[in-house]
Amino acid sequence: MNNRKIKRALTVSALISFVAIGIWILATNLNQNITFFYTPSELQNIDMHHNIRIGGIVRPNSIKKNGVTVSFVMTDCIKDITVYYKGVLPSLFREKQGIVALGKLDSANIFQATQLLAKHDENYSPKGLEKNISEESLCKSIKYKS
Amino acid sequence: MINIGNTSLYIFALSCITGSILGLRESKKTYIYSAFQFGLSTFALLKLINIHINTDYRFLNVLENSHELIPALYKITGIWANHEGSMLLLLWSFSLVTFIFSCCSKFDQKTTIRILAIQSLILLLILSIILITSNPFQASETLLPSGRGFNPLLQDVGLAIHPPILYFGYAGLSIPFSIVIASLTQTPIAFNKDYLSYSYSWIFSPWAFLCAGIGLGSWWAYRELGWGGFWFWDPVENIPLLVWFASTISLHSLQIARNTNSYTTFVAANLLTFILSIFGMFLVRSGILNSVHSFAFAPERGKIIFLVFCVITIPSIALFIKRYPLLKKTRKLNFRILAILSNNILLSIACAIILLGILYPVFQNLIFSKEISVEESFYKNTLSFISIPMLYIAGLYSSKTTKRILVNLFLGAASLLCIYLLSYIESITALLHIHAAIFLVASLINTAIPNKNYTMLLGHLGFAIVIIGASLYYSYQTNDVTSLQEGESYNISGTSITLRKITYAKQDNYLSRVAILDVKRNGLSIGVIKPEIRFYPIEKTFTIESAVLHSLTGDLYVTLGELDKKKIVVEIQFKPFIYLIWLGIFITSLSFILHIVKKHAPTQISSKAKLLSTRHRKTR
Repeated sequence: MNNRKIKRALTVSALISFVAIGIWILATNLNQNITFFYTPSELQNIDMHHNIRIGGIVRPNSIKKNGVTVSFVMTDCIKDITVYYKGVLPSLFREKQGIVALGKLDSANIFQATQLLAKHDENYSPKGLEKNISEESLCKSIKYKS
Repeated sequence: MINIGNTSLYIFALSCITGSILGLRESKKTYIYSAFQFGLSTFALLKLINIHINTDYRFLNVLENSHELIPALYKITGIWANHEGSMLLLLWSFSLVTFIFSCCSKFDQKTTIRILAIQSLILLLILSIILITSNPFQASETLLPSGRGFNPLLQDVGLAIHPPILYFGYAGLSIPFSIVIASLTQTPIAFNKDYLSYSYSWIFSPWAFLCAGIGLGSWWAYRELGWGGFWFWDPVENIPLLVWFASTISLHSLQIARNTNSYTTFVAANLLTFILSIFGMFLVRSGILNSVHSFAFAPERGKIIFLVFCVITIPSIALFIKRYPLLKKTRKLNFRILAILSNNILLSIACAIILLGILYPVFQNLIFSKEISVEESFYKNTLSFISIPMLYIAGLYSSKTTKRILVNLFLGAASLLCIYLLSYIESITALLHIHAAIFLVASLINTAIPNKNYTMLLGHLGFAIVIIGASLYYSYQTNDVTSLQEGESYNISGTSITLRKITYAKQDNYLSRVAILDVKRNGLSIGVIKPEIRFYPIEKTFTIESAVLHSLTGDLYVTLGELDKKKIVVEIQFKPFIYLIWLGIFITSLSFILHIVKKHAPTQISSKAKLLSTRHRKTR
């Protein structure tokens, strides 16, 4: 073993460990900072400590406002879940609108949302306002809309 | 009905084919063809503007995206708010950039013609996307009395200028790509110092336009979406950022090539930047990304763009691999080259991180059919491992002596202590970012001003300001939600906000509810803010119009919520020093104007850099 070989071995091992640490930081961060998306009927055995996203349709006549807090029922036509939210509602929020909520499920099976998103695309016609569309057909579109 | 718009697009396609054939035969007529192409695309764009102004419902594009009651300005800007129209704008930007290049190219004629031929091919590929799946001149089959209207969120000045600026950036990236391909296809490979100094402006300008475009987009989102942030880390937003990082790499690799005579990184970076921008176009426009502001899902559109992506990528990568052994490589590295090189590596890692964040949900969805989204915290946590060393290295690059480095580090620490004493900052990453950024600014002032290299000074100064602004913003921002009755007030840290009145207003295309709020600090009135909620009857949508009160310490950002039993929900956010972010982006983009005016060639920078580093070694 001459000096050059030792030097090269050191460089290579330093590089490998550097890359390994980098990948480890990336992987753990990616693991901790992703949120899974569920529809209300998929909400079983959910980790209550992690943020999740749920998506569904706002059920008509379920929106209750109390000052700055809002509660409403989100449905995918199979199961319902009550959502609580404190803050300003997104401008597209209304009955029969497809909504995505970010937050945590609590022990009383109520979803405590920290963020609400109303989805929209470039073809601008809020489907919730076309009265002849049934709730069922809206529910079918949840998976694609989210 | 004879469709003039369509006809002009077909003639355009023919001119692209002949243009590229003539270019390959090294005919001088290629110049005329690029002018002709520019004329045709301008005509097509004007035609589209014409049918939108006249709200001609015989065209599907107008029917789907417009309405006669929309103000004329937004009828025009509405063209690039939908997929088809924005593709035409993109095509126009590409042909404009090609035309400008044909006019002011400093390359020898043979190379210029070759570059124009490649540009013709790229134009043809983009045109094929338009003609096959997204033709803005498609006739409508059904006749409806009025159009569907135009997304009210997009009826804004920010959106009027954000896409064109961004597209000039994207289009401009094709020039360095073509330069590199044109040089690689020549035997012997045509790379020399002159090439690099001629390419400099063509790399610099798209970089600056991208930067300005990203800044404008972020500014628009801040004012218009009513959520009050400047970056959402949404995949569609991340793509221009990714391309901008790649473009930054190629800009810096030019300095490396200049100083070491090694062209590999320069060639690879320029190829990669353009390839990434086309890949980004595929991701955004195919709709496979799960994004808040996506275009509609369109698999057939995705297929054709993917095909175009392959047609561009595969031959150019193959060419690069084939010609790789012929590229000059030298291993002479001095400290400054090493600094640029390591920052380029850090930037590539940043690109990889962003790409991972964009593609991981797509991957999860395709393989495990699970729907996930990557949170903001992923990007923040991982990218700060990159940005902090990057700032320090950039600072070291600009420092002349060890003594200077120590002084600058001390300056950073001292100013940080002042900030810390004025107001407490909890996050260590924020503290490190601010320290590194101040260190960079101090080092820049030490070298760039005596060297009169203001282009470099402004470019890096802007970046440091963005970092400082963002760190302060994340450390001090507050968010309160309350509900107020007329006459009632709310207090946050010495500022009181009183609801004076709720009024209603009517405009041509919307109705609005306006809350008038008085803002007082220590009993003194500092302003009135009027946030609105608008209802657009044509589109049947509400929009939240935020109101902002600017001050030296930051923005007071107020949005309205629901009105319920005479009480209105008000969200009051304080956005400390957020203006530093726009200011920084503006300064960075400004470096381009200075470059155009001063005509700073990279030669000067590097020769001085070399001189400095040799002097540096002597003093040691």
